[in-house]
Amino acid sequence: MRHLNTVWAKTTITLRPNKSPQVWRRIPTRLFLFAARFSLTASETETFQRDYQQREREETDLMASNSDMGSADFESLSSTSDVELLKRAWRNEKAAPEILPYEGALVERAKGQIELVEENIEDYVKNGIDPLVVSLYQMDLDRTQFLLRSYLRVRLLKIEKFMFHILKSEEAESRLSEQEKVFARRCAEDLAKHFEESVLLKLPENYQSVLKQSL
Amino acid sequence: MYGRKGYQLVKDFASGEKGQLKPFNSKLFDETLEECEQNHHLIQSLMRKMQQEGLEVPNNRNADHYGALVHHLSLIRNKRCLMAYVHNRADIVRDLAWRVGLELLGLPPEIQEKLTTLEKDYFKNHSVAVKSYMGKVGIELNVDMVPPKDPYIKVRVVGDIAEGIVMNDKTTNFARHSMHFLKRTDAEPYIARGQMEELTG
Repeated sequence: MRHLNTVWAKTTITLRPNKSPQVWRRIPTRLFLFAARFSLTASETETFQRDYQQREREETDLMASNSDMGSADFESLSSTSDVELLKRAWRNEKAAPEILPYEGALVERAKGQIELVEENIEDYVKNGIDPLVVSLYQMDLDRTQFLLRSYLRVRLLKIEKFMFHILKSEEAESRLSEQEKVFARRCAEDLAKHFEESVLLKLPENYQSVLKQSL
Repeated sequence: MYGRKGYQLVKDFASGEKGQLKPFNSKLFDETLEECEQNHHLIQSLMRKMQQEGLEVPNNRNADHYGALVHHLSLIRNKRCLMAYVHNRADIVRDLAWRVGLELLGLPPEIQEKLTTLEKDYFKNHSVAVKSYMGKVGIELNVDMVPPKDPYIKVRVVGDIAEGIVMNDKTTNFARHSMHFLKRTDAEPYIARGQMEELTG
């Protein structure tokens, strides 16, 4: 009995399957207890874990693909999974010091869903649905809009900060969307022109380059 | 002493509060530029002297060569100080564009007098670039700077706003010290410009 109590506390357990001296495995506690209940061998437990994870992955894929349909029935389900993805992308972007790859498809889907919910809210207001419910939908819409705007804003600020570096490095440039590339080029041109007019044209000849100290 | 003016210029920038602009120090700026010119003249005269004596780099590293090197290095350092000054001010200008608004005339006059004409041009160009990006993506990125807590907020009008602005199919009269219950996205531009304040608690 005491043994069982300590087992519940740990999340993973190390096992030595089939009493073989070399091989140790780490498996989640729940899986171990499940296997012990049904007296599964080590290899059966492994295949069971793999199948279960595979099934979970298929389920989330199904949910994500359903969100593309955007039909009214799946709307509540779809907005949670897409909003979660947007939240994750936003958090990643905010925390990373460099610019990350652009989530184009996610942004497009989010824009579409925001428009859909906006139309719905207008309909609800017209139909005179309880204002509390309307304000809840409005609140949710505001928060999603904030996430989307902040995501794009954080990327723009990073581009502004590192514009010359991004344009020099092929790899970094491939992480921008098309419009962001145009924006980055314009920003760099503007800043280079500003430098030239304020400082560089007044300096002697070999020292007029923006990117090099001197020729 | 070479490089002192550049150092003073950078120190002048650093002595202001972080994120706040000081008026553009054109006197120091021009003096630093003059020093660069002097350095360049001296380099050229030393190089000419070396050529006349028939010796050329890198075979003969005599005193003239090293003199020219010192002038070259001091010129590079002055260039670095000048560019750092301009670059940091440009960073603050961009930051202003995001915080206060993309219209040049929307900036309060105390800030406008600290910017040079060149910086104002840079501000205009940058606003155009940002606006064109926002237009292409189709989303306004200037609102919603703070995570929203409530969809509607109470505001009090502090500054002067033109009368009779149309909002949500109702013309509201923004008299001074009047309190209104507005949508957050509608009130944000006024709050950013300081014409309204949010009432909390």
